[in-house]
Amino acid sequence: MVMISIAYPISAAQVGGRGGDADSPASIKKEILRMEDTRDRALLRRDTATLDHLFADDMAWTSPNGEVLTKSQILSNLKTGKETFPSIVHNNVQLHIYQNTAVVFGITTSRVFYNGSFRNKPRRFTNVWVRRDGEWKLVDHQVTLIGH
Amino acid sequence: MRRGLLLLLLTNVLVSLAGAQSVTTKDNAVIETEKKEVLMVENEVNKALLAGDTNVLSRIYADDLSYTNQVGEILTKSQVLSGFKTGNIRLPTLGRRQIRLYAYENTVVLTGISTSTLRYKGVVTNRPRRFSNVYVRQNGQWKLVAHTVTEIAE
Repeated sequence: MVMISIAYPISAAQVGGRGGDADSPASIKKEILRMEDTRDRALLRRDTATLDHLFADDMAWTSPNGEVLTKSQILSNLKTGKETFPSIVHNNVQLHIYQNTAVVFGITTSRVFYNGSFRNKPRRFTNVWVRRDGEWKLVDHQVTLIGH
Repeated sequence: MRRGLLLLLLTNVLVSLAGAQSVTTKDNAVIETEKKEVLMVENEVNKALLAGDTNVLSRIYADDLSYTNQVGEILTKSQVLSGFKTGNIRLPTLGRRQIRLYAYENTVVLTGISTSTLRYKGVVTNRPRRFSNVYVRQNGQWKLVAHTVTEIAE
């Protein structure tokens, strides 16, 4: 099950820039939400080929326990089953867009299995997407436990 | 004729390689410059945090800054500035290590570990925390658009 509720306060001034429909606030917003949805579905299915394409090679992935993982570590964990996402649920998702950079943040209550234990406590997450050569890549992901 | 054609092809390849190299060198130079600029801005932020200088923070923080603190609260720019003004947020000491920068043309992500002493709403913590700061260049100025903190589990 993928449940995503979305609120995105984007102003034209924040987006500025190159002109054309592909760079309109609505188009960028739509594109980023599509990328987020693709990422979530790939995590659910442990589809490492799709994630390999979405993640920047130098992506930093900070877990709620403060551990920083590289792209290859995340992909390896998914392949071996060390980390799985039985369900993904995000709430209060917001987007801030700055031309070729998008910051997505919200609350996740996704069920995550990692290193032998499950977690589904509410966590804040921040995803940073950067457009390079016309393609959006996830460059930074960080999760913080709420009320820890 | 054939030798002339081969020479022309070879010249074209060499010119292409030289062009590609100059683009790469230029890109690397831009990346290094961006990293240096952001380090200087980060240094300004650090000094302002210690001094509680909200004028400097106000200038560098983007108006729509998303600031996720160590307890998972998300604060706006005005809430952070107000916190410093009222004394709800204080950084008596500042410690940073393992700083890394990732530059992506007009965007720089700076990550590291903070061991700063932080007083927030009367609670003092100096446990190591992972942090990431996202800077975006807007109208020629580097602005902090996202700050995220995660406590490192013991």
